[in-house]
Amino acid sequence: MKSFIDALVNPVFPFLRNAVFAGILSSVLFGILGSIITVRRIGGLAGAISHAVLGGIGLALFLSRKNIVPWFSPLIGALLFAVLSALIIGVVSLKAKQREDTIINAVWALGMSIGILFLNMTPGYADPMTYLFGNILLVSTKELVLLAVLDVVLIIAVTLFYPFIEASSFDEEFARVRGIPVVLIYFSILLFSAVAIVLVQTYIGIIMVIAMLVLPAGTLTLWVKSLLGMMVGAALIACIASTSGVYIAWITDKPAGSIIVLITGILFSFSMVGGLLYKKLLLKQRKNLP
Amino acid sequence: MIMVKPIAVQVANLSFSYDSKPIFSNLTFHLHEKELTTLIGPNGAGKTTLLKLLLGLLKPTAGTIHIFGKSPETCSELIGYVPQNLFYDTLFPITVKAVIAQGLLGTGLVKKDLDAKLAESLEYLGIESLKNKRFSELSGGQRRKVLIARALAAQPRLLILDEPNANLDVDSVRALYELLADLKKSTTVLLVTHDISLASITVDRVLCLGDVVQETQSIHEHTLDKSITMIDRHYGGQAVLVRHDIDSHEHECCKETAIDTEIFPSHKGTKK
Repeated sequence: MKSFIDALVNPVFPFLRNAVFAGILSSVLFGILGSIITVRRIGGLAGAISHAVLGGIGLALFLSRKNIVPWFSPLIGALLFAVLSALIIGVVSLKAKQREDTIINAVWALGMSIGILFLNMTPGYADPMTYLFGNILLVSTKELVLLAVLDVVLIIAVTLFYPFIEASSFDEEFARVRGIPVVLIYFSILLFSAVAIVLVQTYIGIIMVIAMLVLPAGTLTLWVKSLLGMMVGAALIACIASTSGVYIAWITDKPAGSIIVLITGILFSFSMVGGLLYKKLLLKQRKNLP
Repeated sequence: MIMVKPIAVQVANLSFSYDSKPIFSNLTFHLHEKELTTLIGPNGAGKTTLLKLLLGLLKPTAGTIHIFGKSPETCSELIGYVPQNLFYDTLFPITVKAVIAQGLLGTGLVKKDLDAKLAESLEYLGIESLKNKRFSELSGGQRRKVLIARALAAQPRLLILDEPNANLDVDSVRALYELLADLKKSTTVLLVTHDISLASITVDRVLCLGDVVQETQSIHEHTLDKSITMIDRHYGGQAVLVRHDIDSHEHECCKETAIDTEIFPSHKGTKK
């Protein structure tokens, strides 16, 4: 532990500090957006957006390295594809619910295919594994600032509109009857998720970002009484998993992203088993009542 | 002189189509204030579609809907709605109190007034002890009460209930109809059900949806035969026969009052 703390304050290892900060800042996004995604059951949709991001990264790398569009950075490409796929899935999901499943899978697979293809055609070395599984060495100060800005904007938005978010997630039809702009809320959630996925993919990787969006919130589904409680609790779980994950990765020299997801998965499994046992115990106690 | 209650809901020449499939054409009916009207019809007759039109969730292709003189889209604060579905996501973390508070959204009340209305609603339905429980932990009857409390929280002038006795035991249904009997003293109530043969004795009027005329559904006001009552578990007590063979004239119930466009200004439905 001492060597980890020494490394954290050592100016020679800025990437470690960045990784820890990225974990803490991402936790806010995982907690808030993850809870909303979990209660609305749109995890598949978020998964499609996160995988479509690879298409944007591949296209941006190809166009910039070929000097066709030199300013086209992977971050811009990822943002473009994430927002586009969120809009496409959102519109289809509203206008033709029965096609939602097909479009989610199509966006998921097409995004990945475009990404792999362009990365293959890009001159020089472009390793898809870095983007798929993340790399803590790649978290820049600029990305940390963007993460912090998104955290602040998200916290303000949720504070202002929490009752509307809760109502439209619980019973969309009733919310519409009460005059709540459910479509605007739905698209805002999708767009916030799209931007969040792009900002955390460097750190945790495209494939594992969806796990961090659903597992911390899923861990608490049986134990909390409010969406707000789930948001705060999930952020704490994500924060603990991220920090301990980076620490374990540091001392074992293993990929941090995988370890963080593994820790979250273990917590989720304990919560599920614990929840089932608790339910059984309650039933048994009720049966024993006179 | 017979006093006739004023009109709360006026539907005139209403037509609606899903894409190119016509569902209704020229439906005309009205509901009186502080009456309990039941809208009956077999499955597939279009009850839910008509209900969504009244709630402003769908827009008519032609015709007009006036609720207390306003179009449905502009009077959400006047309408309370109790959906048929009781079984929301059981993993959704939400308390009874938070569910009922949804009924006060958009009212612009300050926190103190919100809390007072919430407490009033909980007390009226007799569910104060449940307020901090998770909604998913409740029985079917308790959930229905919570959803009614949510609909009543903003003290609407019109309460619409979609199949309120579905998934309820006999005691819960009895309690529900006792509540509706009390509620109609101050509120106009529209109850939607697929049971076409009987209606609760507390019902004032019955509207039947379901006769297909030229490919679209028609609506008729039928007579309730209150001379013969019977105990029926679906209504938690006395029920009366719906006489589908006896039509009531559209304006028979309100001969003593002026109705229709003389009362309300014209409001054309917009194309979907």
